[in-house]
Amino acid sequence: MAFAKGSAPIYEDPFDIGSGGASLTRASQAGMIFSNPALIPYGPGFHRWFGNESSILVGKDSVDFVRSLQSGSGGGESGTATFVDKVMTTPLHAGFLNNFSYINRLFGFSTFSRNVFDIAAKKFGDTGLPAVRLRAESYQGVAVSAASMALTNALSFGVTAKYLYAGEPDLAIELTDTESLQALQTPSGLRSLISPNSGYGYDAGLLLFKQGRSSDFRLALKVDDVGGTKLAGDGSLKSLKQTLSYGVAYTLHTGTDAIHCSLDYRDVQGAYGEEIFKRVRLGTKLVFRQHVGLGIGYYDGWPSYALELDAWLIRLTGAIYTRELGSKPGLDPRTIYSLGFTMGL
Amino acid sequence: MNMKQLVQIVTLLILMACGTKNAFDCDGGVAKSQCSQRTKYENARIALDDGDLDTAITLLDELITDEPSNYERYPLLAAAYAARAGLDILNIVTSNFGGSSSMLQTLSSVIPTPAALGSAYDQSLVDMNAANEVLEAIPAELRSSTSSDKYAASAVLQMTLYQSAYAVMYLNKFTYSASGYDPSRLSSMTADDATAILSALAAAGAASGGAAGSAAQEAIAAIQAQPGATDAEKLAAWSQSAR
Repeated sequence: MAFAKGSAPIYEDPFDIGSGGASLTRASQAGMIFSNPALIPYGPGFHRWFGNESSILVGKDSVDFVRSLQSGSGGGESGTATFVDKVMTTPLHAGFLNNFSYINRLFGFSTFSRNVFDIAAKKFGDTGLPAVRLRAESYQGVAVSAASMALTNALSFGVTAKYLYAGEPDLAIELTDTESLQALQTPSGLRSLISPNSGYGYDAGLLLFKQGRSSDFRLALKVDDVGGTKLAGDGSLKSLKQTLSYGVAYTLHTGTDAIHCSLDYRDVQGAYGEEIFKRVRLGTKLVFRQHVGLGIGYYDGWPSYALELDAWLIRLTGAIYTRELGSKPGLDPRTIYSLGFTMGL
Repeated sequence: MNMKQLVQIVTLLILMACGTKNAFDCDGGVAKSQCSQRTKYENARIALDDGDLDTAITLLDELITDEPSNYERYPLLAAAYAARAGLDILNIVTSNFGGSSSMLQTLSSVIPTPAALGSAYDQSLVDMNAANEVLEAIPAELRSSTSSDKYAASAVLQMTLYQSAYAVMYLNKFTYSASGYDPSRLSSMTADDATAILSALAAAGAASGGAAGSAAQEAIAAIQAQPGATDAEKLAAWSQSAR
């Protein structure tokens, strides 16, 4: 199933994604618990973060489609045919993410939700007739992390316990399949499609941190869903598999500016059977005067970009990245615009 | 880190991210990187979605030649041929074959006409016939509207629609000229032409009991009820009365 969490974290900050998504070694405050709990102890002061992050994402195709309607380019004598053609070739992709969390040097907790849906109609479905594919990712729950340092702060270890409601519905219907279409219009049919499963799971992370005067080196190891996270319920998503991931990073910094280059190799054992482009995350974050961030990288193998403006209480983030919903590059890509609003201390 | 180093690194990174290709695409990604090669079938699906019908037909044809017993691919190849013939599958599946209009009127509103295609119309007919031949290559016992195999049910529906469309397109060859509707050309229809048209309608009627199949069966009955000594004369009479 390509439109699914797979080896990616359950929750990711838009700036982290736009910076390539290599967040095992460095992550934004709101996404830290999910990226790697071993990151928690590093930073100034005891209290690290208390606040809320909300972000929306929308597919570029959807935005372009709306713009074309506004500009009237679908009008004229062949307007109806053009409109239908556009509907059949324009995937609708959108989502909403929210995360309320508190983090200090020793532990953190977060309540979060991530709901993304994708509706793609195709003129030629799997059997040559018009078809619609409905897919969604829905994860919400609570996560609690604890972390500790050792070896004179060169090594940290963190664990996360989480309770999840999760669902990854995926339904393909041919427009000529009236039985399936009718079934979907009933409350029970719809419920069976979106019903989430629930269960407990655990993550563990390690971070080796070598700090120099103008450069840092970080090496991370993380195990997601230790032993596998079993999910119970009527939905089709019955478990999240255990994955092992490595991350490496090198940072050049002054007192106020920094360039952070990082590389993640996720799911090294291939538990989800994903191709290499899904498992390698690469990117760079540039932070100027601790208030302006610029991120560039490769997410799912596609170029990605991010911007961050941090004004103490309020943080605004924007990202443009491409997510590959197919199993190979170029099969089913979605270019996504993401905007985040964070408020906290 | 001085400013010069910073500018160099930032420039390098921005250049790195300026591409539009996937870094792991074997066709255009980063050289010598481990890449993800798409299969021929995946490339065929992409070509079909992109409207590159020539490529889709070539690739699907090769796939079927390599694995003739993989019948799931046949309806896709048939759809590609039908699309290249000018048949808009969206228009045709949303047509109301059970309405007050005759099948001839319903189909004529959604299929390509000689007036629209000009000299390309004959090739369009060849492609439409090829679509039907591809579907007929699926063993009859595997084509069933009640089959749990989705391709089997799709093949039945496609066969009904494509055979009906082929019959009407073939008939329109004798009722349209470049300037529009021209029934005077009906006199040039041969007995072989009439047989081909009626055979396609019969195949459409036999394929399924849906609205399009019923419409094809009703059309055959109406043709047989027309005055005339030959099938060609009956078809000519029907084409004018049903329009």
